[in-house]
Amino acid sequence: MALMLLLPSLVVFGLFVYYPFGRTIWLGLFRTSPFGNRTTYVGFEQYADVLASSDFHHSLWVTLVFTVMTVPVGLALGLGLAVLAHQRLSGVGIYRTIFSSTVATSVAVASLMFIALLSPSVGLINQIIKGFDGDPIYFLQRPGWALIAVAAVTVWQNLGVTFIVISAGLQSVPDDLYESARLDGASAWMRFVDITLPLVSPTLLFGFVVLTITSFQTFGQIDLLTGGGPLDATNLIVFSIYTEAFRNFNPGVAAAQAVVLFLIVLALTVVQLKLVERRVFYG
Amino acid sequence: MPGVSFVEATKKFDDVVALDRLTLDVDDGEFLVLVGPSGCGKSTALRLIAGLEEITSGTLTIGGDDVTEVEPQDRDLAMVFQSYALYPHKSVRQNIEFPLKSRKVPADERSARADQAAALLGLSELMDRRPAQLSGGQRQRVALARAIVREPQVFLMDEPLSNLDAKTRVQTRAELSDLHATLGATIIYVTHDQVEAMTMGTRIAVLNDGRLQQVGTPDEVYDRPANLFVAGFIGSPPMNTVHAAVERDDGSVTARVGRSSVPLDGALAASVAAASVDHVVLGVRPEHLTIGQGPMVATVRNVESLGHERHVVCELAGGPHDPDSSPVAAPLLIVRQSADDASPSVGSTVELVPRLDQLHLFHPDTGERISP
Repeated sequence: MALMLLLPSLVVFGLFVYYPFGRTIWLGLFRTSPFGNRTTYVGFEQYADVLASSDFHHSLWVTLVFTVMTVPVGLALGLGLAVLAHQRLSGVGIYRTIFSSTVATSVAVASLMFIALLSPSVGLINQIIKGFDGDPIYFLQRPGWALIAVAAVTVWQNLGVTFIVISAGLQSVPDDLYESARLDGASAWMRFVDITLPLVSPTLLFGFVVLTITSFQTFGQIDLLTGGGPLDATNLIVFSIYTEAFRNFNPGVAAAQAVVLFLIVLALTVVQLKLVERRVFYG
Repeated sequence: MPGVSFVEATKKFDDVVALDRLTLDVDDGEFLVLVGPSGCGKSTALRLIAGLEEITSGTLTIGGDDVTEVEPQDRDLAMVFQSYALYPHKSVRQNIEFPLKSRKVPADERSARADQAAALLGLSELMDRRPAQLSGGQRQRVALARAIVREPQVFLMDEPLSNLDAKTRVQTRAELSDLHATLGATIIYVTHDQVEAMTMGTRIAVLNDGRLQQVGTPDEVYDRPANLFVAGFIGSPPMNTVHAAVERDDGSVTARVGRSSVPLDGALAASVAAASVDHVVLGVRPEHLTIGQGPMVATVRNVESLGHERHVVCELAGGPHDPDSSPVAAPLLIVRQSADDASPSVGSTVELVPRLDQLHLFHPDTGERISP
């Protein structure tokens, strides 16, 4: 009976998660022909090649930098907006809607919007810079700027979800704790540090882990905004896997990279949970 | 330590009037209990003093200073919440020290004062625990310790005992009274429980529908309720009230209820004359009625034994004098008997004897007290 009840989800997970995952590991053990056919069994040699590859190291490094750029800023902005929108003010509902609206925006729409905004010739941001007599900045075309620009788009794109999740966390903090703290003489900053932060810490940890995982999986905005360039400056790891598989026709290498990525994200998540969980208050 | 005064203070939430022109002085060092049913405005009054709500009109002074515009943290008062509002992620010590930390008191002094407050409330052994590891009574004491550690001018307490079990409640009631005696502080205490009000307050302020009904010592409020609401609210079981017709005959004045006739003495007769009414609401406390040979004829409807005493519920024969204008639904009277008295059987007819010097008369229309 129990098995019967589990069966539908087992079938779905099996077909769409476990089988492809097993198949990826398997594929990583083979060299492939330029047409993508499995040819020679090389065992873990291919995994060793991937781990030794300087291109893979570069992608990994860029992804790490990208994660450091997006996750803390995204969490801080989400928390800041959630705290602002948690005030009992008239019309605050309008702001809540605006702050959460990026949830309803797809990566494609967001990317196209930012291509227009960041355009060196007609983009609004460069128009403003020109208005201050500055030279236009080639945000998506210069290696020094491209990763920053893509990170900014990603932060904006994730802000809606982060805002909603942290707002939900704030709702669970009883009002009388804030009232009591006000009577106890705590300043707004003390109330934030001593009450809000500890009591939403489980939500922040959740946001931290999820945002880190999504930033390691970033693909859409890279594909649409920079195509991994210029000079591989935005060649994040998932985009590099995609390029290897569907542009260089090396599915074996791509599969090995994907498995290594999985192990890295798994290890990172475990480390995050172990390190940060001690500082989290679960009530 | 200074007192607290409301002058014509009104609080509205949109169109709902939560507190209607409250004028009330709380004296220095007093234990004032605000009591009333749910929604009467007592918690609103407390939150106005705390500064957690803004007064719509009128003024509020603490120690003679108008604090209407003063922020909660600058009012120098401490509040104990119904939920205790302990910081769940902080230890007992951190909770107690928090008001001192907020006010930048040096760590040594903070720790010493927290120890002192904890010792006063018997919390010394629990300083490293979190609130979730404490019983209801212990949490309540932590909330009290957090309030007293700062030595504020005024303590505000919002139904602090309502989440405790009956036994702990009685114990904590006594502890709070002791604490008031020890600290000599002004305490304003909100409750819906009239037993708490009677046992703890140096004075009681009874509120209903946002309006102040009566202020006085517990004895004053119990012995001379200002109106029918107070008569019904203070006292358990409440005062018996029945609608009666005033009859004058040869200089003697009686109040007639159905077939029963109660003589009114000189002072009561004079008050009826002064109010120029021909109907009154007659009130008598259950302990001032006895079963014996008397002017009121009634049928026993129910007998409730509480062990140490007995409540005999009687229905007056002949019904109310004027049911349409009567503020009481049925002419049921409760007689409080000692457990040693003979218990009447349900359904039997008895005669009730009121203590004539303990009768209360109220205006039939306004419900205000007319007897002296």
